[in-house]
Amino acid sequence: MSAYIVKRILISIFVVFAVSIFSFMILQIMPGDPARLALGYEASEEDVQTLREKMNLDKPVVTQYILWVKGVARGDFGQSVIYKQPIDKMMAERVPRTLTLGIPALFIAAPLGIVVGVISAVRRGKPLDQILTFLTTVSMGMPVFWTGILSVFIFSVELKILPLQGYVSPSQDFGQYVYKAILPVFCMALPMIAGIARQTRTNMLDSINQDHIRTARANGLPERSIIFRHALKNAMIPIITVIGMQVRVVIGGSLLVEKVFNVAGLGTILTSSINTRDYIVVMVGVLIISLITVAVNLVVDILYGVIDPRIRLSRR
Amino acid sequence: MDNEIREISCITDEETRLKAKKRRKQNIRYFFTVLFGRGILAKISFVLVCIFILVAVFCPLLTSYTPFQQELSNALKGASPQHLLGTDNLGRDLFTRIVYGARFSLSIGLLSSVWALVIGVALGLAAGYFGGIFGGLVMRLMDAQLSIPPLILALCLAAVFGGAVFSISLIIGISAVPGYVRVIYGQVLSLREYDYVEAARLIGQGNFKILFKHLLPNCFPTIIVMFTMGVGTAIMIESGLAYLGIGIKAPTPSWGVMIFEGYKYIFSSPHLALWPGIMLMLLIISLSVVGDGLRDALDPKLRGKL
Amino acid sequence: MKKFIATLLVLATVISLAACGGSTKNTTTSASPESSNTAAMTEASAPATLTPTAGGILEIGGSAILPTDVTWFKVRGIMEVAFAGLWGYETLMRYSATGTPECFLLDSITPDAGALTWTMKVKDGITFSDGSKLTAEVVAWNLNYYKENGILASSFFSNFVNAEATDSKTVVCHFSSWEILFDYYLCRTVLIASKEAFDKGGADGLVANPIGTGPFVLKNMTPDVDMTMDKNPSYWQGQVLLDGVHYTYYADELVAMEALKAGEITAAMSDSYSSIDSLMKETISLTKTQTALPSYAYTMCFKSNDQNDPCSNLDVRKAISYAIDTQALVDTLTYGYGVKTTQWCMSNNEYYSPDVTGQPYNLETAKKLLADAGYTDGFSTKLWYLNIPQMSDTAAAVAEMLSKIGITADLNPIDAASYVNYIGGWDSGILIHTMGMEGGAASQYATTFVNDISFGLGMNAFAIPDSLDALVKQAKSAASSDEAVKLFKKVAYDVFEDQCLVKVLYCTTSYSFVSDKVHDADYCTVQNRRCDLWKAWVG
Repeated sequence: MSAYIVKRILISIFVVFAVSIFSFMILQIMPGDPARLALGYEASEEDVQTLREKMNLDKPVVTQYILWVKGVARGDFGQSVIYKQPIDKMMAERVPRTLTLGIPALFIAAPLGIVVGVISAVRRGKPLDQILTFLTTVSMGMPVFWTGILSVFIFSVELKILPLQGYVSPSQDFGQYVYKAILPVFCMALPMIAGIARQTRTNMLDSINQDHIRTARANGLPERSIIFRHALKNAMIPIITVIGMQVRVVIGGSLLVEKVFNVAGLGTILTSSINTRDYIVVMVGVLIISLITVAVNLVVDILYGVIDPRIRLSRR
Repeated sequence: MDNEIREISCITDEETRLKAKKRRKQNIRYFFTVLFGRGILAKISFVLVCIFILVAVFCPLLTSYTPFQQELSNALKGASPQHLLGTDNLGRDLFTRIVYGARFSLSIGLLSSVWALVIGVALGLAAGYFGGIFGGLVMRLMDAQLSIPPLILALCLAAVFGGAVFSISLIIGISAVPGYVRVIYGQVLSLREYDYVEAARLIGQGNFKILFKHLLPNCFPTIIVMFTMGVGTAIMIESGLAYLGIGIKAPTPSWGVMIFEGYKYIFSSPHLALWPGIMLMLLIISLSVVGDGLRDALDPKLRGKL
Repeated sequence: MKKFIATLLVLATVISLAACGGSTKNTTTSASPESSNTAAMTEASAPATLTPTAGGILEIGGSAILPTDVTWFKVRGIMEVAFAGLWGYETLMRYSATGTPECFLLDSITPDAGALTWTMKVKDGITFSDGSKLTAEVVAWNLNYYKENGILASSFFSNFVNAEATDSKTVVCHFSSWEILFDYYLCRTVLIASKEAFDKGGADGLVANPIGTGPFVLKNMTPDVDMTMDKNPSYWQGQVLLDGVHYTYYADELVAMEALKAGEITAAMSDSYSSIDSLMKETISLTKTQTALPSYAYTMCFKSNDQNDPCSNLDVRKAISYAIDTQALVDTLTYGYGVKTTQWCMSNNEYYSPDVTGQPYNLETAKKLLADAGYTDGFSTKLWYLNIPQMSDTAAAVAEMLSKIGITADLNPIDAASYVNYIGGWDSGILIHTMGMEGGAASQYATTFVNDISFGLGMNAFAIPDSLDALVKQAKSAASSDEAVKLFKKVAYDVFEDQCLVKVLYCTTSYSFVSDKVHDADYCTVQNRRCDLWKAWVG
C-alpha cells in the first residue's frame, strides 16, 4: 500500500515539474518584453535594462527557471507588471473567490449527478430515463457562458429574482454570498451534474448486469438494497475518477463563469493577464491551477487504492 | 474487430466469401440499429448534423448576401422577407452570417480534430507500442497536460500563436491530444499481446509496418468515435475563446464572436446573440449524440471512458 | 413516448426563445434617435423645493477598469485622471465646457514669451486632506517633481526647466524654449499631491495613501472589484455633503446599466453607444447628460511616407477620404449620439478651423481622384485597428465603403497589449486610431505633425512636409494665445485639407446617467468621467 502511495506521489511530483516548465516557457515564448511593459513605452532603454536585470530576464533561461522555482518555493511569486502588486497577495485575494464558487458547485454536482444517474439506470428506457438523458445531453452541449447568459436573462432581467452579477465573500455577508452565488454555482455545476450522471448511468447499467447482482436479485434481496449496497458500490470507482476529472472542468469553466458574473477570481485574472501580457501572473496562475488538479487527482488515486486493492496491484 | 481481420485473411472459397458478405450485411444493419438505438433524439441529431454539414458546404447557394456585406441604413432590423432573421448592427444579414458561421465552426471543429487525431494517434501508437521509458514519459507528459484545463491551455497558446484560423485550430487540437493518446495507448497495450502482432514481429516485419498495418486499423473504430465527439468539443472551446475575446476576431462569422458581439444588444435586439447561441447549442448537442451512437455501434468498450 | 421527447425538445427551444424574446418588441424600432443635438441635454432635475441634506453614499458604477496603480505622477489617460480625481487629486487648471483652460487651484496664470516664463498665483485657503496648506512652494515642488518623474513629462514638459516660488503665492516656471500650450498641459495629468505627506512617507507612502486637495479621500481599492472613498471634511470649496463615494466595477457595461435601472447604483457613465441608446429611450427618471467635451476622434491615418504604398499619393488619400460617408458612420455606429466633425475638436472650440471641409462624402469625386492617381481599378490595402468592438465595427464599415471605389481593405485587428508598437508606424495602408481629444487639438497637432519627436502617432508613417513642420513649431512657440490659435488653425488646414494626412471619421462623447435620488451632482457634464461631486447630495 505504501509503495503504491509513494509511486503516485512521485508521479504527481513529475507532473508538477513538467507543468512548471510549461508555465515558465509561457514567459519565454510569448511576444513582448515584460520589463518594457512594466515601465511603459516612454521609459528609457537604460531603465528598461536595469529592470530586466532586476527581474533576472538577462540571465540564461535555465538560471531564470531555477531562480523562479526557488522564488515560488519560498512563496515569493514575483510582482505583477500590470497590477504593481506582489502576486502572492493578489492570489490570496483571488483564489478564495474561485474556490468559494467552485467547491460548492462540485459538492452540489457530485451527489446530484449520482442520484440522477442512478435513477436513470434504474428506470432504464422508461420516460423518466429518457427525460433525464435528454436533459443531461443538453446540459453537456451548452457552452458554460451561454448557460450563464441565458440564466441571467431569465432570472435577473425578466423575472428579477436574482442579482445580475457580482460576488460577496461568505465571511463578509453569508446571506448575500448565497444570493449572489446561486447563478454562477448553477452554471458551473450544470455540466458537471450531466457528466457525473452520464458516467453513473453507464456504470450502474454495467454493474446491474453483473453476475453477483443477478444472484442477489435471484436470492430475493430487496431492490433498494441491491441498487445502493451492491450495484452502486461497484460503480463507484469510475464515478470517483470522473469527479476527479471534473475539477479540471470546474476551473476551466470558472474562466467563463467569472466573466459572465464579473467575479474577480483566478479565471478573471488569468484572462486579463493574458490580454495585457502580464506573463508572470499567467505563469503563477497556470501553476496554481495545475497544482489544484494534481492534488485532487492524487487524493482520488489514493482513495482508489484504499477502496479497491486490485488497483494498487494493477495500476502502473 | 480482430475477428473480422482474421476472417478476411482466411477467405478461401466462394462459400465463406458469401457467408462473410452476409455477415457484413448483418453488421451494417446492426450498426444502424445501434446508431439510432437511442430513440428519436439520435435520429433528430443525425438529421441535424447532416443539415449542418449540407448548409456548411452549400452556404453560398442558400443566401444572396455575403457575410460581410453591409447596409448601414438598414442596421438592427428585425426579421423581414429580405432578411430572414433580421440584420446586425452594421446591417449585415444575420441569416447569412449564421449560415457561414456553420461553415466556419465546422471547419474549425474538423480541422482541430484532425490535428488532435494526427498528433494524438501518433503519440499513442508510439507510446503503447514501444512502451518502456518512452511510453511512460509520454503518458506522464499527457498527465501534466491534463492537469491544465483545455480552455486555459488554449488561451495561453492563443496568446503566443495568434488568432488565425490555422493557429487556432492547431491550438484547440493540441488541447485535445491527451484524450486520444490515453485511449489509443490502452488499446495498443492490449493489442500488442495478440498472436498476430507477435507473429508479424517474428516474421521480421518492421516496427512501422506493424504499427500502421496491424495496430492502427484496429484502432479505427475508436478513432472515428473520438473524432466525432472531438468536433463538438473543439467548437465549444472555440466559442469559449471567442467569448473571452481571444482567438478568432470580428468580423469573421464565428458563432462565438457573434454571441460576444451580439450580447451588447441583448435587450434591444436579442436575436443577434440568440440565434448563433441556439445554433451553437444544437450543433454541439447533436454532434455529441451522434458520437454516442457511433460509440455504441462501433466500439461499445469505450462506453464509460468517453 | 417518442412524441413526448419530441415535444420536450420543441418546448425547450420555445422556452429559450421566449426567454430572450421577452423584449423583442424593441427589435424593429429605428436605431436613430430623435435628435442628434450636441448641446448638453438635461431632463428630470430635482424640484427646487428640496433642501440639500448631508450624509449618504453616492454609488457609482461602470465598466471602466479600475486603475491598478495609484501613483499620482504615473497617470496617463483621461480615465485614470478621473479616478485620480475621486482619490482626491486635483489639477492646477481645468477645461471649460468649450475646452479652454481655466484656473482651478490658481487665481491667475500669465505667459510671458519674452522672458520664457509662465507666472501663476496660487489660490488662498486651499488645504490638503492631511491638513497641510497648498502654497507656492508646494506647487513648485509638484511641478519640478513631475518634470523629473512624470510619465508624460517627456511629451509635455520637454521645454520646462524648473519652477520656483518667488513668494508665498507666486510660482514662476522657466522654459528653455517657448511653450504656449503649457496651460493645456496643466489641465491634463499634472496632479497636485501633498509635499508634507511626501516628506514624511516618500513616494511609496503617497502611493499607499493618496493625499490631494480634492473632496474625497481614497479609503480602499480592490482591483477589478470596487473602491471606496470617504469625504474630506476640510474641502477648500465648501462643505462636502456626501459621506463618501463607492465605485463598483462591472465587467459589462450592459450590466452596469441594468444595475442603474434596478437602483443598485445611482450614477453611471457610458461611452458604449448600444447602452446609451437603450438608456436614452428608457422612461425611468434619470438625469441624462451629454458630456460637453468630446472624448475621442476616430481617425484614419495614412501611411504616407512609403513610395510603394498607394497612400503616399495625395490624390489617393483624398479619394479614400471622399469615399467615407461619415454621416452614415455617426448614424449607425453611434446611433446618432456621436458627433460629425472634420478635425480634432468640435465647432465650438477656439482651435476649430471652418476652412477645413474634410472631404464630404462624394463617390464620383473619389472615383475620379483615384483614376487620376492611376488606380482606375482600385488596389488592395490594409486596415489596422485596436481590437475592441466599437473599433472592429468601424473598421468593417470603412472597409465596406472603400470597396465601393474598388479598394480592397484587409482587416488587421491588433491586440491591446501590442497596440503601442503600431502607433508610431505600421506596415502599410491605414491605421484607424482613437485620438484622445481631452488634451485639446493644438497639443495633439504639436506632438504629432513635427518631424523630430521621440514617440507619437505616425512618427514613422506620416510624410510631413518641411513647411508643415515649420508651421507647427512656429505655432507652438507663438508669443500670444491669439497668435497660436491663428497658426494652429493653419496647421489644421494643412493636415486635414491640404495634405490629407489623416481623416476624422467621427468623434465620440459620453453620457452620464444619474438617478433622481441624487441632486446637484456635476457628474461628467464637462469632460468624460470628470466628476465634481462635492456639492452632490442624496435624498
